[in-house]
Amino acid sequence: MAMSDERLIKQYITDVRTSDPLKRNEPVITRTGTPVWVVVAYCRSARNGDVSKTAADYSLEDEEVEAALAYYRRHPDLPVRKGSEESGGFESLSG
Amino acid sequence: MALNLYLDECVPPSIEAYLRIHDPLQRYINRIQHASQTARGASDAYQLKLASNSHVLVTVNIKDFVWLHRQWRTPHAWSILHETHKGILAAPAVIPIDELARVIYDFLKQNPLPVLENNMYTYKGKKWQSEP
Repeated sequence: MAMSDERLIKQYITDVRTSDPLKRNEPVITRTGTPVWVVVAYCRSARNGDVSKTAADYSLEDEEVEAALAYYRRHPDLPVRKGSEESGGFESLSG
Repeated sequence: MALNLYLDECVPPSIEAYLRIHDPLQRYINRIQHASQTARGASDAYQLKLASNSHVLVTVNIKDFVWLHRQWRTPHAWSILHETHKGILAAPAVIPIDELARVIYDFLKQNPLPVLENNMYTYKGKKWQSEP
């Protein structure tokens, strides 16, 4: 049976905020440090939702990609468009 | 002269193999370093600082690095910072890894190569454009 969103997020995602300017301040895949937003953006747009291809390209496990997608379902405000051509504004830094 | 590339944590690590397919003799790309190897968990600002001495930074995080690039250049305009970065290449996060490698290679093999030092180029509308 597939893991629930909550269990996937708990097992594979780290979302600890910091005020340290030297540290990344956004949710990441726990094992690799890959930002969650980029995994979601890449999976949805570059790989048309193909979890396995996304996992292969980012050297992740399929469940880690599933966890990123689950996190996005729980947090739809995740800035998944900051890697798009149209981005480049002056809003706050998150990374 | 072949350049060193620093890939930020948003770039798929496996892109190195795709880049080497295009440039097996290292004519354009010398060393390739991924942030996960040396600066895992570091902020984008710190990664740009790390790369600035010797590597062209490659990212798919267009928004944050356009912001950082402009922040970097502002103190130059005020003559309070003289250190330059070696260049930033930013492509959308929404293109597949093989295409990403190809567009990066296409940029680097240009002759003459656009001035990279302290400049940023973004891949938009299927071409590289200089960021102000």
